[in-house]
Amino acid sequence: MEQAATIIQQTLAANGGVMSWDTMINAIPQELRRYVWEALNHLRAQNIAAAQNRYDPELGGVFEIVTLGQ
Amino acid sequence: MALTNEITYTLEDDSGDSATTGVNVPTAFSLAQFTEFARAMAGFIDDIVSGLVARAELTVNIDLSALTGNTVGAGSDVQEINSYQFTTAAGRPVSVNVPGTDETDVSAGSDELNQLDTQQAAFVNAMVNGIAVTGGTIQPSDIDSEDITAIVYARESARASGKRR
Repeated sequence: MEQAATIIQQTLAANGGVMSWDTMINAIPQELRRYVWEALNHLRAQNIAAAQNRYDPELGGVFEIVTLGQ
Repeated sequence: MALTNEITYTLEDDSGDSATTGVNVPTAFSLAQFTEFARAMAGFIDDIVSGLVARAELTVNIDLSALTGNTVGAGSDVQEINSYQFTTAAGRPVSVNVPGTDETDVSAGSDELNQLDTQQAAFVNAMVNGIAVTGGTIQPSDIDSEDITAIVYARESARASGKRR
């Protein structure tokens, strides 16, 4: 789980603090993908990053991974 | 066609059975006004039935005309259900059944919905962590307004077609 969380953080930083779900998944090796939700929950609890759903007037529902605490 | 809201009344009989009836109303009123209407109409309904007017619910009709990509897929079938079970912090289960499974979301050799698929992940996350809207975040809950906090399972099931909640 820690490895997945680290990769998520690194990929998020490399993408300027916002990335798509697919970008995140593609960055995580297959064998670690089962820990994705656990890693995201950990990062949310630490106020580091989170999967976020939001309403956008132009796009409707938007789902993305974002940096928290900034 | 103009949008309407609906006030749904649930009526119970002497044997404990229940049934519903609905009244369509215009949308351009406040919640307080709808509450006054619903309470008044409940009295009028009570006067014309022998059972109990047990509940009144306001269903707000939302304009979805701006939703993009909202088309009927070839072979789509509302008897194929996305069955999700979530839980609250207190461990209370919350079941959500969404008709019309996209078969590409079902993991090969099982009935499990692939929670690593981006569309599935988006729905699950919206249920567990809410959706940020103007001025706040709306968090789905159980019927006692306890927040959903986790998903227990997501799988495909098949049922006779009908209205889902």
